Amino acid sequence: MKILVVEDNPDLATNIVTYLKEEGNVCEWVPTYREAIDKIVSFGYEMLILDIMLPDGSGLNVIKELKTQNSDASILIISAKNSLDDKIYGLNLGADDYLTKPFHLSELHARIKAIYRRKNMNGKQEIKFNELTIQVENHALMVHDKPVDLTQKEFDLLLFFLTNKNRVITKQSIAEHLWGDYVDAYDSFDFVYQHIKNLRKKILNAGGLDYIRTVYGLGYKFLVPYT
Amino acid sequence: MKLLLRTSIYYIIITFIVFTLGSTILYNIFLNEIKTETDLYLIERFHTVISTLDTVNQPESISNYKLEIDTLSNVPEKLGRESFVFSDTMVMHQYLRRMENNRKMTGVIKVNESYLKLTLFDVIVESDDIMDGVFNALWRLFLFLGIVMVISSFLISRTIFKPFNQTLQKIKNFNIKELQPIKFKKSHTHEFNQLNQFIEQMTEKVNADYRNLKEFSENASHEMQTPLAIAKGKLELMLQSNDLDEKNMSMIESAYISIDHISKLGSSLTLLTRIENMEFSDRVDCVFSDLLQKSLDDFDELYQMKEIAVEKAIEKNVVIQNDPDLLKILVNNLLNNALRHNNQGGSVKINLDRNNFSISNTGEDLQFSPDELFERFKKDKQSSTSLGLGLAIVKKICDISGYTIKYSYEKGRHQITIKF
Repeated sequence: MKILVVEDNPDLATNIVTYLKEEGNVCEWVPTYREAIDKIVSFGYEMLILDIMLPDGSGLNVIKELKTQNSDASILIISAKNSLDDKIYGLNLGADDYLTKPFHLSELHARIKAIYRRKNMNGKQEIKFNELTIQVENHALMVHDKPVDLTQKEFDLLLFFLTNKNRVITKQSIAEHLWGDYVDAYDSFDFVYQHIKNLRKKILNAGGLDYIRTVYGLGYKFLVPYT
Repeated sequence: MKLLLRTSIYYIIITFIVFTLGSTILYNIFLNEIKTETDLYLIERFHTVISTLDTVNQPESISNYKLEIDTLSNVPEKLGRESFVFSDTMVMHQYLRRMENNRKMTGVIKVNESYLKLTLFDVIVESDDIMDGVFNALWRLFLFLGIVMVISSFLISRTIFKPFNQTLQKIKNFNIKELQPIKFKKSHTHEFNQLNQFIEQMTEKVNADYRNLKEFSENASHEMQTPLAIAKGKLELMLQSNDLDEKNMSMIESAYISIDHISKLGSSLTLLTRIENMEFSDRVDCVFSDLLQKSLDDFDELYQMKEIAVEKAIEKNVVIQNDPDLLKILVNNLLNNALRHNNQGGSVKINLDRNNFSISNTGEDLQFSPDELFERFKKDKQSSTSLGLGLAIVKKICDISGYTIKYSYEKGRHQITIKF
């Protein structure tokens, strides 16, 4: 995917760019509103990661500019302002999602993937990975073409893992991904563990491989075996 | 007690003392005056008797019950004016047939080579009559004065204390969060003007300080988020490298957890400030029953994993007028609180009707006073990972929405009740 990151903080931008590049994306970064406009006028992007507060203008105007160009690039707003008005305004302008700083990079990537799937696969989304087949729309999992009954949370968890394969995902980011902000992450670590245990068991029972590894006390990793 | 009533009472007490002392003075003055007048009258009569004596041969013949004439056998030491002696005595009244207070005067004169001692009497007003008179006059005066004083003080207070009452009213209505300094009209009383001026300056200062503090905490918690996001991202990237051993990983983990904690803290504090600033002011009719049920569904799984039994009695279609986001935060914080501070295998009871929402859960005793429960950063030692802001946010929402919130602990259950 070709992604443009519009973020005035170079360190934060580097984090995002590094992570996304490792996931196999083509990623460019601009720190200002003016440069962002220059870029979107000159090149086509599939995805824009946009900070609202830029030194020389509002990121919301970048969305307006994109829309006047009839660009079909997806837009993900990242902002330190957890303001509902901004969120609604941004989404109304045509942004696809909104993420509040500080976020987990794994969460950012999951959101990007979700937007991508929504836009480019028109709902008929199927993710295949070895013996696993996931139908995103129906929240269904097939192992060796046999359906496996998953709960909503287990399904979300598997999808989260599949979008961040071979990466250490912290317990915090899993907890936040599954339950959002309203649950204290520390309380839900045990719950995360239980969900992972159940998910593993269900895949194994259906004849699948054990892909999920525990990374010390820190988190989990969906390991792609060398074949 | 009102200031004016108080001063009036003091004045009345003082007046009473003055009147009491005054009555004895008045009594003495009256008595002296009467005696002096009577004495003058007696002297006058004395001279009349002398002139009458010149015309009679037998001095004793003109004596009566008010005049005694005695002939002295020896030569008196004093004569005429120098021999006058005045005294009080009791004399039988001729008609009344009883002893009456009399003024007595004796004097010696020389008539035709013989010395005569004249004793004259005259009835004077009795001292208890004077006392009665003084007392009667004074208590009427005292009563009149008292009534006038009370009435006038109330009338005067209306005008004189008007600016003071206005000042009081303004201070009462002063709300630091509105950031409006108090302004007063000029009054005619110097003291009130000084007071008003002082209050104006003070509220301006308080407002400025409050504004600064608020801006600071807003900016601080907001500006914190970007560097935290960077640090978090760096750690996350670092985790992806394959040459980390367990020791490095655990160090990264604790750094990660701490950063997470700070950033949660920041956003919770920002949330508190935003609630305080009335940023959630989209007051619409919310079906609280549905909202509660939805949150319960979200928490259902979490409760199950801790084997917590949920008992609920939710009245259908309870409509509350408030910002839906605020209500969501309120409910989620309470449900989360009941989950976090519960025992494994405990229970939660939830009740909702038109006027009340209550949630109770099993759990350990509080380790601090229940009064402090809704304060910021109050938490059990056990849950040191908790921010200690959840219930403070709940309280804040109740405060700005005009709900009352109560906490009680009974039979091992913590109960929080909200009255809409």
